[in-house]
Amino acid sequence: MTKKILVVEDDATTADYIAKGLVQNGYVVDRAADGLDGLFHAVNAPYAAVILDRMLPGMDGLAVLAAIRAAGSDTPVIILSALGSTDERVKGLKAGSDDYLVKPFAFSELLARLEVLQRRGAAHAAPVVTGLTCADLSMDLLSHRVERAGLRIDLQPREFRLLEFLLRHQDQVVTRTMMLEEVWDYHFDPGTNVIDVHISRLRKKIDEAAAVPLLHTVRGVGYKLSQAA
Amino acid sequence: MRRPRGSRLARSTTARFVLLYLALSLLGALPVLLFVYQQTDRVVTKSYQVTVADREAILVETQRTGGIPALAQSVRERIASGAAAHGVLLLVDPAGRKLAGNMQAWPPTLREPTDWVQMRLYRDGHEEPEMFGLQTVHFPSGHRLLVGTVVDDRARLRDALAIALAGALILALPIGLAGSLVLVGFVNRRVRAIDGVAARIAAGDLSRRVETRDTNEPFDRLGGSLNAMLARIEALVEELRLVTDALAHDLRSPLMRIRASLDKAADELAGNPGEPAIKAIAQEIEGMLRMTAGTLEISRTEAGIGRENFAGFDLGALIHDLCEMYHPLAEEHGVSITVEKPPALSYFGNREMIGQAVSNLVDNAIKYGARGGVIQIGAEDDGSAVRLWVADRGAGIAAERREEALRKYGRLDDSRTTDGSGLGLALVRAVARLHGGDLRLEDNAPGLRAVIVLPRP
Repeated sequence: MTKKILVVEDDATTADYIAKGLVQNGYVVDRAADGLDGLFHAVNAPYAAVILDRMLPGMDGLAVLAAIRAAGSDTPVIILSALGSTDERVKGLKAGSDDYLVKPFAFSELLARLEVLQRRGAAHAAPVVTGLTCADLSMDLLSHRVERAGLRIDLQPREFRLLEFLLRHQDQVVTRTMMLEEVWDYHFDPGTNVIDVHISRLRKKIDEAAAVPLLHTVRGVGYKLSQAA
Repeated sequence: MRRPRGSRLARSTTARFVLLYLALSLLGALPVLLFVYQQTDRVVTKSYQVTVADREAILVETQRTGGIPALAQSVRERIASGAAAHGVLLLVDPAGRKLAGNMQAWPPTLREPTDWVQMRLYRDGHEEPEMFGLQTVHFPSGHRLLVGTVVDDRARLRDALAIALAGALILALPIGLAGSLVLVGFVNRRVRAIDGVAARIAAGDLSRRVETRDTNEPFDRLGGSLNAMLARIEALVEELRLVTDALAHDLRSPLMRIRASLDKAADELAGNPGEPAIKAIAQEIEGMLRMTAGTLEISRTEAGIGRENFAGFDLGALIHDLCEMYHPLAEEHGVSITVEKPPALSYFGNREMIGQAVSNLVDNAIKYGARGGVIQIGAEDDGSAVRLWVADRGAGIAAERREEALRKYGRLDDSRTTDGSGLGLALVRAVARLHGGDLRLEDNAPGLRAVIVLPRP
């Protein structure tokens, strides 16, 4: 089944850019150019996700979001905004969005977040898991034991959470900012390659002794934990 | 740090006001008291003069009708009857010999006839000299008569009056003090109310207003002007918010389009000689975006935007997180990070912004102070303020260049070859000020010690 995404964005170039990328990745896209139109679409048809610009003519993005939530819809919403300060981001998340992306963003960042949101929706229905695996890498969430090919790997608490995050989103691209948000719960830009250094340490621990690497760098976007290269 | 100075000033102003009020009330009372004193003295003196004049008139009349012998007789009778108990009488012949009287000899200094003179004299039967008010008459025959009355009573009265007046002055002291305290208390209450609002405004709550009644009283007028000023400030901040939002939107949207076009161009040029150039442009655009975002964030923070997200959080945990976050990166640069903090350190503020600020400082320390081999992150809480510091043992910043380092785009690396927007420390300072504190750059001897002071509300 193809997934339908609603893009509510008044800037035609940006809307084109997003729609084109989504279509290339197998999504079906509906577009709305102002807040009222967007709200009308969002509450009248089922969407896999809504990509909503923060500043819209007619009706402000946050007001549209509030109306969508008030209508009882829990469709995942990603807010796009030129307002990047942390307090604006917090405001957006508090208003009920599932994610908040600052313009301009790389399409790959948006796509990565969109896919994670899709998966998260599915995971809600799944039973509680006590272990995660990827090929011969296994993680016991109860005993906090991590093994690769039967050999125990010692991880720092933060490395454990980082690996857990990667395992839960295996075969998906996760970006640096997503990791910063999920693993550290910070939304600011820590500058320099802080996250990369953490990943390279983790990689050393899980991949160094193994024949097949699991933790892959996706150039210009982020990382992916996957059996396939 | 601003408050105590204010209250000390207020206290000394209060003291000065009380003293001034007291001095004025005393100065006002003094002439009145002096006037009362003089008037009383005059009236009392007058009454003595009248008494003496009457007595003298009677004696002169006796002389006129009966001659000197009758006068001498009358003087003797008066002394014998005790009618002159509080006075002196003396009648002498032209040679100065005593004919009658209750004193021994005519006072040598008293040559001319007089209406009123005061003099200390001995009279018969008294060991001590007493003060008398005297009147003398020279008769045509050369005989002289001296009539006087004791004025020690008057002196005593004067003393009593002086004591009473001093008492009144002493009484005026507490009354004046109490009065001035009441007055100062009233003024202080009004000033405090205005000061309280001003403090809340300074702390960022721009919606506060001074309570005013609809009168033309100076305090109400002051409150009214203050409120008008506040309304203006609030409008300006709101305007700034709108402008920066619009600027962010208007600047970022074209950049967004440039990026979309660049992505497309990079796709089409993949593997072609033009690709590196496109990549380089994309990187520059990234840098521009970061600078725009940083500038906007600083401006908005300086305008006090971000306070609505203040909440309680564990500052100690935040420092611990950041240390742990930067630890691997620091190690790669050959520098270790140590943390020094109290076990629990809760604070009310914007966690994200403080996190960003500390992270900027740690990032700077790794970039410019890694040579020193160790970076210390610490926090201490003295109850009134929390001090967060990041200290390295690198080259540091010369004292005269520290202010420059805090300015927006102020980069001490003159060639501007190292990567960085020059906004890091400016943002840290803006965040500290948003919380009512400040950023201080100190000498870590050697190295730089950046201290964020966060006052507790």
